[in-house]
Amino acid sequence: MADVRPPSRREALAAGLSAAAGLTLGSAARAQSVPPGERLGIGLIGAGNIAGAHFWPSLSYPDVRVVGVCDVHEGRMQAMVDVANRHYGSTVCRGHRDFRELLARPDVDAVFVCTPDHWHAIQVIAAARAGKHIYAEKPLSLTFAEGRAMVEAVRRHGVCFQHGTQQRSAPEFRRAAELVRNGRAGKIHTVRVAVSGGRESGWGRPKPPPPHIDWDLWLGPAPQAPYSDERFDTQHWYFIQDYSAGGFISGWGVHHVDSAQWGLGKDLTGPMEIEGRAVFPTDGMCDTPITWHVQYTYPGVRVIFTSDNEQRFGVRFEGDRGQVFVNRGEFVTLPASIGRERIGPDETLLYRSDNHHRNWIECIRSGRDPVAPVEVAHRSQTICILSDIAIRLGRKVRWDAARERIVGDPAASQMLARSMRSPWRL
Amino acid sequence: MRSIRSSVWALVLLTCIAGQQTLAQSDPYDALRSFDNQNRVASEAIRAQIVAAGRDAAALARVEARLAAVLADPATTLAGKQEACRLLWPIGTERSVPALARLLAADETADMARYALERNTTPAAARALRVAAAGATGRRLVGIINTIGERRDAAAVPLLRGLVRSRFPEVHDAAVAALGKIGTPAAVAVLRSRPIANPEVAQAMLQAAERLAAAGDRRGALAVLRQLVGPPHAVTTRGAALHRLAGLEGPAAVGAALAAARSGDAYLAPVAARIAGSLAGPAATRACVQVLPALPEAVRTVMLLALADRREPAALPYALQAIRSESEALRLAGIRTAAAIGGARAVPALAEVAGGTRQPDRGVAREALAGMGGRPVEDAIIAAGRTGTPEVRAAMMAVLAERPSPAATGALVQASGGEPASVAAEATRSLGRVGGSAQLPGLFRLLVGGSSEQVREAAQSAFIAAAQRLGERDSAVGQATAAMAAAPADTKTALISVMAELGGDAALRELEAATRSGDEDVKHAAVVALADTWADARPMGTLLGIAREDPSRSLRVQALRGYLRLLAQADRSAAEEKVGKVREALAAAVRPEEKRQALGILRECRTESSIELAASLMDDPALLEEAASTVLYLAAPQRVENRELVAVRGPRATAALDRVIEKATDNNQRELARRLR
Repeated sequence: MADVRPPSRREALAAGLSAAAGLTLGSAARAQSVPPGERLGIGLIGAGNIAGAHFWPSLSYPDVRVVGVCDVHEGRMQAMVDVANRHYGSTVCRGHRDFRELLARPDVDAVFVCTPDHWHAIQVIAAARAGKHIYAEKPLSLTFAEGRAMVEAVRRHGVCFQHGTQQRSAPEFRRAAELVRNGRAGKIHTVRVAVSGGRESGWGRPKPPPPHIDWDLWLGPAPQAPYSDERFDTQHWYFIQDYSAGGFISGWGVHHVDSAQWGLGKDLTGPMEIEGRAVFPTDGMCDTPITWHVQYTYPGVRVIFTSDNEQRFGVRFEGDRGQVFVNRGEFVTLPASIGRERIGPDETLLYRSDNHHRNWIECIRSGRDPVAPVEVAHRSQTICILSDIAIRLGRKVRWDAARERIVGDPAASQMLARSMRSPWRL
Repeated sequence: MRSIRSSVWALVLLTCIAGQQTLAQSDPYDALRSFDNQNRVASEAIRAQIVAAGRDAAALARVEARLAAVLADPATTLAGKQEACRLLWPIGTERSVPALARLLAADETADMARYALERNTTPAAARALRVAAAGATGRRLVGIINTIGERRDAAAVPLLRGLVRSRFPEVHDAAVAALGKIGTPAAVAVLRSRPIANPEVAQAMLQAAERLAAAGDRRGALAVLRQLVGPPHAVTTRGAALHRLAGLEGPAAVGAALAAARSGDAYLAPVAARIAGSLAGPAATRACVQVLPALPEAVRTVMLLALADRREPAALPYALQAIRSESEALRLAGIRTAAAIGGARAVPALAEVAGGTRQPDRGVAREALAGMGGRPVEDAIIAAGRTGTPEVRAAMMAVLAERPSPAATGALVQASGGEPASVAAEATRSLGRVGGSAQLPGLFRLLVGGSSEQVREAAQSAFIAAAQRLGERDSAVGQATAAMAAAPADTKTALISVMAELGGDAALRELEAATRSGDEDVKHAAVVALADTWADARPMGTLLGIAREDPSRSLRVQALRGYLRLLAQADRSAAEEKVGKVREALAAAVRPEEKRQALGILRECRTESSIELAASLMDDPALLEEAASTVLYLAAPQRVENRELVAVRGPRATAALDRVIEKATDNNQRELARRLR
């Protein structure tokens, strides 16, 4: 049976959850204090590594019931189902191999989408069509076309969508963005963004998939590929282009790129030009950049987005009056006095969320947008996708952010979408 | 043996490198033909050619032609064809279409052929897909239809008209979806011929309506949407149709939206309420506020916030009413709406909630008041801070700290010197958060002469916070030092505490002098301040002296605990030096509690002297188990926060383990010691 363990404090914090929410499991009695009609029925699509960061806190929320778990790995799915049922002292939680069964259940009000990246678009769109609220793990999409289709589906069906860029619910990131937005560092001319780089790998050993894994369903819309334990492992598929958009350019990059967007006030737009270079693995199944150096520009501002071998991990806003640096758990200003300045009610106050899950759940009830809505997610992920395209073509890509079109480069434009393996479609 | 094995590995490695070099130097297109998912050198070489070609059409054409030849070669492996299709994805033109068209005809290659063709904008690609669809079946046909849909190929409508009549549901659904994406009037006509109650058809109609609207055919789009907005369609379809209808019709859609908002459906009603509340204009607003009170609370919550989000002033009375609702969600919506649209008029009601006891209302109201802009709002908050109940006034003092301004500071200063104590204390605390240098003397006066203990305590915290925040630690310590001589006993205790928090040379001198005071209260306060609060290692000598020699047992214990606390956090001290200091502390220790504290420090010192000292404590029965545990911890390798800690080895470590084997009463400890020995 697969191991299902509670998150460490570090994992809980990384997921943007308060320590109390993440680590203190409420009792069944407490859950019963909320009338059943007011409890949200939650389903998890995907029961792998990151799912734990959503599953364990969800068990602790008195106004939520985890009623379904879905995964192509039978053992992983069943382990989570068993934990949930033991926690509730009932059989309320049921397991599914196919996400479509989960979405067809009327007792599922909302879902966490925590599958590999190549599945996000199909599952988010299907959930929206089924009228389910969605918390989708980052990165939002594999391609620009997927992201745009997700935006349209979510808006068309009026469901509440939260993107797993939980730095938007972290006080230090909000504080950094507010200081920058209110000109405390002066006019920003440069933003430096750095995240973990990628990796190399071997080819793995192809073999028949084990009976407890539905390999065809794991591949879903991705090109046919032979099963191997390595390919199925997170530490490999993260860095295979068929299942990702540039590996950690998107997988980690979208967190800090999104924070840069927030600070610059560019949530619903994008850069004018993107160019970059990268070092790719020369062999092996991992084929996304190991290190990279990308620069994208807005009028008067350049963003230098690299792997962390070049710059310090985090986001640094550089203005003509000072600097603001932010990373998880770290917030530094230069001069230090900037960091002590207050933002008044007549200035730009940013959306305040201190817990990414709770913000989503509150917004499901209020009908309002959460702190990381789908359009914002799409715009941030588009930058990561364009970075990958520019790197792969080895040339500058010009972007019309208003019309969301690449300008004057048919090859780059062709890379804005990928065909899906049959029978899957957007 | 080892050298033979090494030689074999070296040979294998050289062979591999030579193989790769050969592959890289040979023609990569030939190598791609035999690609077997085990070596990507060839495809990387071709990718480099594509990058080098840039926008040079002739160079790209050469690459494309050679990739097409790879595809056409019957000897090319399946993986080689897949890789060639990936490479064609960005550069494909009509040149590669014939080779790809052949791949469309086979189940195992059709998906990857579409990978290369789907974004190929040439008419040849579109024709190839239509031709392939005519001869395809099953999953291959579904894939080709999907690609036709993604390409929005209007010329495929006649083909799709036939396919929507397929008896295979997957083919039917794919064709219907493709027609929705194409979304021309002709495509809509085909969709209209299908049973609209079918959810796939309804979904496709929705998409088609959006395409029609985007193409400027508003009337056509509205006709489709009106067909979908009511029963018997699924609520998800109705919600989506309503959303688009509102986008096209604006306020005119309010009737349909309100009808859906009253449907009682758990999904549709809030979606529709949000849409209705978002429709601007007096008529739509009137219609909304008319039905608002009769809506279920959950739906009312959503509509109220939608009105708030578009700053609709007509919603204010309902917001103020909602603040008193039984439903928590509705109350919070009321607070947020009132804050968004009410301005100064909403302040008294929000102030009342902020001063109340009900959570989360109280916190949400305070946050809302802190974020409301404008001078009239500020004036209203200050007025509530002067005239409300003590609870409301105290709450307003906290709110003013969140919205600093000269007027807010003035109000806080005034209230900090007034009555009742609860309001003055809250105002004082707020000054600690937002006061400037000009407020430090006033805070100090409150610290030493505030009207109540509550205010004096608040002033103590506020003075420390403000001095630290403003970087005026030394001048603050100076004020405290100057006041010591004339201060009464309880004030001296407070001043000592302040100095310990602020730190610095002057504070340390004053505190060390106070440990020698003839006044027992002052002396006690100074020892406690150094032992519990002081932040660096400088007073360790003083504390050890007290721990050894002071006549008071309680002060000796207090000082020793402080000494060990500061030693534990002295990260820069060498391990050997730390062990020496632990030894000194143990000489002064009489109680097991302090000895345990010392053992905790020894655990962090991976030296033989540390393990030896820990072992010596096993003679004390009260410490036997913990001392043995420390020996075993040090004698074994550990991994702490991704750092590998090596085991302590050597004769003294062995002797310590022998002592565990000899003395420990826990079998597990003895067994572990034997294994580590």
